[in-house]
Amino acid sequence: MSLALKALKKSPWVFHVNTGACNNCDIEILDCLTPRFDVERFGVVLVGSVRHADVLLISGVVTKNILPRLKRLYEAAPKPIKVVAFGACGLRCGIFRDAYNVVGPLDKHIPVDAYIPGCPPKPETIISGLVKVLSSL
Amino acid sequence: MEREEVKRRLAERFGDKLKIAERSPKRVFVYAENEIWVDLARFLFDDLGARYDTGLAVDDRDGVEVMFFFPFDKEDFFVTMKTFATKPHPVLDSITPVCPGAKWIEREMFEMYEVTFRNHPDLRPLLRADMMPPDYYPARREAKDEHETVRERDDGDWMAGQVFGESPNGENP
Amino acid sequence: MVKKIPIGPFHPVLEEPEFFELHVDGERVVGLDMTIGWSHRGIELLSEHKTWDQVPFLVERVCGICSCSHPYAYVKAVEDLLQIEVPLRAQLIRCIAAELERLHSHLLWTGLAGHFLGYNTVFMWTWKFREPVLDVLEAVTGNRNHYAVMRPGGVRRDLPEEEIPNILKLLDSLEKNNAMLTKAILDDPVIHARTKGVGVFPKDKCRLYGALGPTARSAGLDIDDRRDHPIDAYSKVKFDVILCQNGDVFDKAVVRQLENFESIKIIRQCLKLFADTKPGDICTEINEVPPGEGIGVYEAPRGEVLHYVRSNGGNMPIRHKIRAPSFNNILTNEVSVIGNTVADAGLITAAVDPCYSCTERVGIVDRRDGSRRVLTEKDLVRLSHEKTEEIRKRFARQSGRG
Repeated sequence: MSLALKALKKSPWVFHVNTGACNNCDIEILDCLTPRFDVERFGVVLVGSVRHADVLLISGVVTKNILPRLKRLYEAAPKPIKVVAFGACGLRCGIFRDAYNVVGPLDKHIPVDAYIPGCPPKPETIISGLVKVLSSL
Repeated sequence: MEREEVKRRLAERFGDKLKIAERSPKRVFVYAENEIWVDLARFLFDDLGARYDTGLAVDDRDGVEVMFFFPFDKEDFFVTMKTFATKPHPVLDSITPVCPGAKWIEREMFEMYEVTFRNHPDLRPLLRADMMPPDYYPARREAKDEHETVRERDDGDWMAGQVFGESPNGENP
Repeated sequence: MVKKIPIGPFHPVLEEPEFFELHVDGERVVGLDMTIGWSHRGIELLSEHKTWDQVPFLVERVCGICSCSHPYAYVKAVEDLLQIEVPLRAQLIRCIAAELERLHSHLLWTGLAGHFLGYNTVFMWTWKFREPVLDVLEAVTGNRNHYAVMRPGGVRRDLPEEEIPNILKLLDSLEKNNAMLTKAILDDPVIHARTKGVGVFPKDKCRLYGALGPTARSAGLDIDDRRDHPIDAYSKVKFDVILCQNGDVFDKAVVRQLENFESIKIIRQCLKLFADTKPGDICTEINEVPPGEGIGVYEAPRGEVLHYVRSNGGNMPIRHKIRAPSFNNILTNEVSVIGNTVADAGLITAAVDPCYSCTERVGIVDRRDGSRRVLTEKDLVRLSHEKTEEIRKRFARQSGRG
């Protein structure tokens, strides 16, 4: 089955979480929904509750304040769930590496399935990353 | 109100309890004693009509320097009032009776620098995570000596190898 | 009986975490408690370990939407310490990048507010109009978002002259689109009913709370740092300051929409002055930063950004204070939500255009029996959409009858 057809058969519902980011990644995610990039044609929908999610899109360095809530959120998510670490902050904390309130990159705390690099990642990168995640669903 | 007029009225009102320094045409610094802190804020805000902007604290060897900015918008200059709260446990009067907007910045100064503000309506930490020890003040130099604020990073588990692939001789790309 | 409703830390409308606890009596909000600090990364403490030239890269990641504002205020603080002048070409490039950022930020807010009200078309269209602004920013500075254009003493890259016709074309089309958007949004009776009189923050409280930016100007407080404390090229251009009277959500939207026209005016004037400058003259060299302190202010899309730096002669600042305008503006929520309904609470807290991200759910705690009900983001947005629908039906009935 071709990738395009496979992607059409699955319509991943994405729940977006910000664990202490500068916001730019989040705006680029919303940008992808707008007419120019339009990821909705791949069936990607942003949902309002983690219980409906297939993909957890997590941006931001994990701050100490957010950590317990993030863990609770991950436990509440229906398994199996794909976790995507978003942006340079999700990869390795970006420029905030040495800050006192940052407890480290995301993969220290929850298992991550995919990484989308960039600060912030351009919408083209986001789409390519999401398609890769889709192909592994 | 013009800059010279402001300086004159401040000197007239408080005399030798404060020192006025003009670093540049648009920046006036007023060094005040602790006991006239709230009166000075009231004079600048209510009597002279400055706008309340924000405040900050700086950690020094013997104490914590606290300052607040009061810009005069129509005449394009800033008046910064400064005072010094001595260590080991700095205490100062809160200016929230004059400017309620100072609530949050004083809470932040309390949790970062351990400056206790008398008469503050709700002095509890603003930004601190629940799991931080209660007597840890991150911005103080004593804290910096005991608990590393810039953490030593262990690059042993550098993940570049997993994402970008190892280089042929096993080094990071 | 007062119930407490927590909202957060991942807020329905915006992209950053904050935690609100609404105290409600029936349907009306009677109190508000806010907990912030979820995105606290300790940036001020990080600045002390970066050199003067490295700090702009750190500081533009304080907030991604106004990522030109923080570096601009920082470099003005350093230049205030040094008391130096920046070449005219650099001043104009800074001003052009900053005003383009203001355009994209205001359009972004309008889209999000429209989405929350139930006007998804507004969301899609404003963000569609926003894309060409980001394209121009990419052509001019190199990146859609984190521009890295500021540096103490000037700018890092020159504006390519061949991009100027593109910028002018963008401004013409954006002016038309913004006019259409303004008319469509602000003449709609349902939007009037949803936003007029909602979330009022009165003028007399503005001074006490230190409210800034459109939040203060919508209430009638006449402050705008571009006019009051003009920096660089702002003293060489003419523009109007938009003021409204009531301080409700409607006025905040009006101020932002009309400010877009002023930004377009400023960019056009800057481009005219640009022709007289010498290419390549973009930076004053700085060899050392002597001991001293500097204050830099800049009018960001959300209000006044203030940076304070102190130097002891070394190559890193020993103290760097960052005060984002939302620090003052978010505190105003505790006054503006009182007396409104839960359905409006999300909109009111979003109307100050807070610069932190959120998405989350609402938990309702009934103190009488301790039972908990959890509303998801969909529910909170649904409450807001239902209210809009109800108002729309009421207008349809009235116009059908009359």
